[in-house]
Amino acid sequence: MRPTKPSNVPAGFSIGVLLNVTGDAIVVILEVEKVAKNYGGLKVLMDISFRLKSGEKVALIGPNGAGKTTLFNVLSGFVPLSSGKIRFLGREITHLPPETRASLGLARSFQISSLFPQMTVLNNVLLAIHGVQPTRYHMFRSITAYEDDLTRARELLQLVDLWNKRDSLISALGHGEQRQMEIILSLASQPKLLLLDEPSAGLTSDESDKLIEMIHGLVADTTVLLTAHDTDLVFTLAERVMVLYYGEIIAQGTPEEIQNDPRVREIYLGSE
Amino acid sequence: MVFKKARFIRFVPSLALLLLLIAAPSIFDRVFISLISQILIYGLLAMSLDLIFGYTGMWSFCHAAIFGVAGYTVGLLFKYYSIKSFWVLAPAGLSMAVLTSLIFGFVALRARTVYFLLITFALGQLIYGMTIKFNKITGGSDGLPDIPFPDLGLGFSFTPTYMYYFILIIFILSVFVLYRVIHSPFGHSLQGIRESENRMRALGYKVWLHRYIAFVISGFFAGVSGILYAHFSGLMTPDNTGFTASGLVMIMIIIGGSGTLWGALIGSFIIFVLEFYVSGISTDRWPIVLGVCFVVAVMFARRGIFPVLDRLWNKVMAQMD
Amino acid sequence: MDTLIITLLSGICYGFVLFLVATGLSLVLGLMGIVNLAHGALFMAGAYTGTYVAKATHSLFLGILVGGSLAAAVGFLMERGFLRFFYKQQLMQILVTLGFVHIITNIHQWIYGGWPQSGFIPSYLQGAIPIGDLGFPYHRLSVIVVGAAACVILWLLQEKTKIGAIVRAGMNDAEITTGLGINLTPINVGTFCLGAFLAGFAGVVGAPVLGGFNLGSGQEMFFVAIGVCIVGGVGSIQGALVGALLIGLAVNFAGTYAQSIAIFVMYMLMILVLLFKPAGLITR
Repeated sequence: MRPTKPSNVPAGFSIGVLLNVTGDAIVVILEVEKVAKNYGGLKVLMDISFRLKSGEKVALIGPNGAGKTTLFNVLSGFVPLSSGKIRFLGREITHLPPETRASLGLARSFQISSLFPQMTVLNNVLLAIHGVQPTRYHMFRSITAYEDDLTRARELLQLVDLWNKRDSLISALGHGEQRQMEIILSLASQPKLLLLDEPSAGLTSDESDKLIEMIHGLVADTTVLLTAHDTDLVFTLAERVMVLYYGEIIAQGTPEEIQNDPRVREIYLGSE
Repeated sequence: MVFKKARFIRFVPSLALLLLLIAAPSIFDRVFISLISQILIYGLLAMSLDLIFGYTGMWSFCHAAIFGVAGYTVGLLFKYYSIKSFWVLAPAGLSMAVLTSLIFGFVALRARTVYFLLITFALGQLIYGMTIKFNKITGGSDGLPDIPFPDLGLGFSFTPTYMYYFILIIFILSVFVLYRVIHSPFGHSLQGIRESENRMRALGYKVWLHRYIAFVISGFFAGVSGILYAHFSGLMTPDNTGFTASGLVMIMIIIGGSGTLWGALIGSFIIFVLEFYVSGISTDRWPIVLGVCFVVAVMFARRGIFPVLDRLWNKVMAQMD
Repeated sequence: MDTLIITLLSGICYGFVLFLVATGLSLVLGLMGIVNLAHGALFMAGAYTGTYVAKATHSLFLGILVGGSLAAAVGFLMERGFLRFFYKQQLMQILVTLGFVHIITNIHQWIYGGWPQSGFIPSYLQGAIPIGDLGFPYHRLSVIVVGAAACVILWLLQEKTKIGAIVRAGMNDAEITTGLGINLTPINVGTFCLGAFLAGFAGVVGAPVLGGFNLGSGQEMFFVAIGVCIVGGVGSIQGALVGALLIGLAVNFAGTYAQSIAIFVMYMLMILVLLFKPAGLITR
């Protein structure tokens, strides 16, 4: 049964407040304007609008089937939207393919780990680093022969204690390590905006805590939009929380505000 | 220092093979040298296919056609324009192979997996059909005969032994380049595309372009082996270009181990040596044996031989430390 | 004018032979994701043995029965004996079918020798229907009738029966269909064998249309059938029919009016379709 939507949340209420507070001085990284996505007659996203400021950490929560992953796919370019506009760093990217968005500095991780299982840990990271550089077309030097990139790969891998395992295949790693690699790969290109789709999916709470710590350390300067079921993750990392419910953003605010919002509790937290 | 030594030991099998190949003409008789030449030429063809087949995951069924385009270009230019110089024939053959790859790749890359296979199949068959139907020019099913050994313009004429070394040198150069490509960032991008296309796009790779470039590089080396084959065998026939030839190259890769480069050479070795001995018993029944090879290889040796050898060698190296 | 009508009829006739061959290829590809490279070899198997039986017994019907059944039996053997061991590994399945091309072709060379063979036309289908100064053979007319009848039956099977509905569902999403508790295995086997039967059937009735056959005929037919799948679109009776008739007509018209480009016509069609409608003209 689909619970009825609380009617006393004015549309765009929180967005208005936010804009008044921030003013013009703060750089808007991502601007989403009335984005909608239909599959046939099924409306998965309905006129979603929001903005992300530079350096902000925002969590997107909502029950299963609320459209979180669809929104991520629309933002990263994997799924074409039905209507609306997306601007990234002031440039319209509504119809650009994922690879172009990536080279502009928009990176994402996947809910189901999408790594390169038959490649070594090190080569996974190097491949991610080369992705936004002209070196991705280089054909004669070994992928490990680029000193700067190798240094960066080492820094990244040392952060998650995987440098010692750099020569093992991804398929030989445990699930927790694969989830860490998933985030390392999306960070490797030093993106300006990072979309993390359920970074803690399938992790035990210990592993999840480690992951939260790691993300905390890694993304200090990066703008992050993340989805999660894990409330710890949301309330530790996010400065702002948006609640997506059947294709609409029905509430947003600080984690405390959201936690105390009775309507959100009823719909989201209460339904768990 | 220890690191260097380990690296050196790693290459011992390749070096041993290289020495054996260099010494071969003084060890084996002419029939065998001819067999080895053929193994090298088809080995190179299979290795070039492995770049897109094993590493990128593109099931191209027109590889022999591109090989044939290069070979037929050489043969036709020789026959109708009496061009003898290798320095004209080879670039012409290679240009035609690359041009064909550019066109075929552009058409076929609109599809994936089985549909890619289907389209490359049909395109390859176009070349095969042309070699048969334009029989006044190409000699039809009898083929295009009497293509001579290459003329390098250096004032000496080729003997079969020279031809063997010529093939060996070009083989080594080509494999060196293929090896470098595979270990480069671009080469890894191909493997990445095979394993997770969406992740590659999310990382900023223009997947289509990478596939296309790989297809053309692979076509270039198919052209190299086609030119070598035309000069070596002196005869290009439609059967060299058809889908059975493409399938043969594919099964070589499967037998040797796909996505391993060296596996393709091992597969070529096994198929040709087997053909050599089976044909010694009965020429007519070779296709049945070949068919059984396909079935057996797929059913029982899908991973291929090279990974097994590789693991074995790694164990040996571990023992030595 | 007479030439035009004859060319038109010949094109349709050739188109229906193509349809019989291509349907099986297309359905197997749509349902199981396998390009059965041995499909042409099954056509050839039907043509050789079916025609042999028909000539020996003077019965076209018996020839069709034996030719079709032989092809279906070989298809059954391939599917049950080999392909089923690697479901979802399409490339491996395809390579196994390529192995069967070599085996089947070579066995036929062994049994029948390498010489070209003529097709079988029963006495009651000798002669031609006059069209102006020219004539159109009765047996070709009969191929059109038989092909059209087969087409209608297959279409009804696909659209109006429960089995057809399962086949269509399996093509859309095999996993969901299996998840609904439907066992797809008998459907896969049945489709594979039906396709093989049709190929063998086409071998017997199509042999006179093609002007005889030899060891290479199976492959030639197979190439054209691939073209049919690309042009018409994969996985439906309608797609196979549209592709087959288009190619049949195009090839015949080019053969009559533009001999020099005849062998390219199919490829031109294919490339046009690929550029503008990559999934084929009829999409499910």
